[in-house]
Amino acid sequence: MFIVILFFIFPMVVGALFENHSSVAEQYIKGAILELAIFNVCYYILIFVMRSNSLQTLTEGYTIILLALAFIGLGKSLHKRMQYGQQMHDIVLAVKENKLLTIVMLVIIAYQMLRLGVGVPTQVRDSLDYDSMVLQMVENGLVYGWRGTTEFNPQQLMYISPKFVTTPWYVYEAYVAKIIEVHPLIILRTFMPIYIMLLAYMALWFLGRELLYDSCSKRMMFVIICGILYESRLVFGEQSAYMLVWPTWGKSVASAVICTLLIAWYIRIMGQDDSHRCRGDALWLYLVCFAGTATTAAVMMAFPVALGALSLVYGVYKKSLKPIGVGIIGGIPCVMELAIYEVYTHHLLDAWFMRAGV
Amino acid sequence: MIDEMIKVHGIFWVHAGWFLLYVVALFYVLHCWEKIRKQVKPIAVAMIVVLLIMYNPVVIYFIKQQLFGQGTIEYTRVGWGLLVVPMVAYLGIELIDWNKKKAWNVLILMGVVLLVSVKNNTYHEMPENSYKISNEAIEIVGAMNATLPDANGYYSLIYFCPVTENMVGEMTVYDKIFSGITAYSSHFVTYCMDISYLNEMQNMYKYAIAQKGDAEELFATRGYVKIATTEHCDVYWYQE
Repeated sequence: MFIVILFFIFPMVVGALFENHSSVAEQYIKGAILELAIFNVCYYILIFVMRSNSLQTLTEGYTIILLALAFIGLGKSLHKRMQYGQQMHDIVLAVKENKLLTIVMLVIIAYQMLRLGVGVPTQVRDSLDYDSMVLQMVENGLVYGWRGTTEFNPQQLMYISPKFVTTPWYVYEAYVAKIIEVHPLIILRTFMPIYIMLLAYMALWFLGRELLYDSCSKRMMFVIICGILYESRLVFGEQSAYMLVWPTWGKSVASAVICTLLIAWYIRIMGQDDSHRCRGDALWLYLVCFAGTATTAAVMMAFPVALGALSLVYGVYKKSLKPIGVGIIGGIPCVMELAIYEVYTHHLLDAWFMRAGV
Repeated sequence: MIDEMIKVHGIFWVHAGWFLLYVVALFYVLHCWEKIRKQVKPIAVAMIVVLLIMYNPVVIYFIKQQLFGQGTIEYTRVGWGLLVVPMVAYLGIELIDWNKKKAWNVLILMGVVLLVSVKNNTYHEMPENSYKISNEAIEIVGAMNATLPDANGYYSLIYFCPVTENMVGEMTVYDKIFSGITAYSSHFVTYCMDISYLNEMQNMYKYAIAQKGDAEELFATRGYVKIATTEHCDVYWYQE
């Protein structure tokens, strides 16, 4: 039951904190992104300010914030119930108009989710390392404390690879396992893949709206075609595998969910004439990138490439500097993460951690 | 050059699918450029441009070989921002819009992709338990757990892939919990220790797993004691 609350109810109510005209999918995505972004902040405070690697402290702090947000969001959700009713009516209407497409879309998504939720990937690759990390964190109660210790020791962080220390995705997975009190392997191999896939398809739906906003049937076709194409690993390689085989990896979340949202928000901003809403969307672009930096260190490179390419083409196309400005806003979290990564890589924080000594 | 790139680990490990995509994109652009320029949103243009750059063999070669050197960067990471799948889907829908008759061609192509994919899609199997690791691995973990001399130790074990004849990984076993090892998949038990490798490394590894009956004598002379036997494996412990 708590899994349902954490994965489905919380993002919805947290997402309800924002604009009134958001669709259900958008609200869910905003909630999930905000949750991850706040987790990122809590993690950085724990590691770099408090100089602690106690998973318990992180769990308590983050849960309190999450509950507070959910409580406020719940109040807002109740105010929005009329709007939800209207949205549900629109959804039912769209489904009635596109029965076949709806069925095909849901069957494809459900099949892919169930296949991974019930089955297990035959190729393991990096799953071994990542699952081990999460197991270690939950069982020892330490964030990245896997050097054979069972005691709290912030100095250990100095020996952990910077790519992990700067990206807390696996800590987030450990948090989920700890708060739900289910064995981490069950969380990682059964529930999380379904959650991530749901997020990925929500993100695709969201992107579809930005690309093909005029037609619900086109959006459904867009999602269906994406679902079918993802099946072909022969052509789409890693992107397909990340989505369908190992969705719980940080890089999978970055490529299947965050990148999709990044581009969707960018397109939305470019099509936005209202400067007030444009600023709001730019903030969300920033948050998406910031949440992305929680997933994997490779976003330091991947996001600027994506944003740079978009900015360049849009800049030339629109003969304006606005696209470049938006690209810079999205790139800020990546630069910040890169700075932390570099500082950490060159052991410039060692003295800071040493002073926390145990 | 292409052959070299395909061989280089970390570019695109799924054979030549990326190259096919590049050729298709190039073909698409050459035939539809006027329509793309006039009718499609800038995002489509951006996606096509990025696709043609990212999947361009010359660019890949330059980045991989000239800028970073072989094996030092996983080029696919840069490609995440490309969103190839949504891009192809979007351009497909635009194509259907331009010419409804051609939509059938797209649908047929999708059908072929689906059929090929389903035929080749053997990436999932049914698990033996809710942890989704093999019962045999759990049995091995239990046997190791029983022999641990103290709770705060830090032990290692390696496994070897008999197909590639390489050490495919090293697992570290922590404390009495053995969480490190429990994370390993059902394929874990299909690996066995490399005997020659063991000769050099024996003192570093507390535990070893070998194919059942394969290395009993060798392990005995090296100071390893058999602590368990499962359906496919013998489990050894190095006794100092």
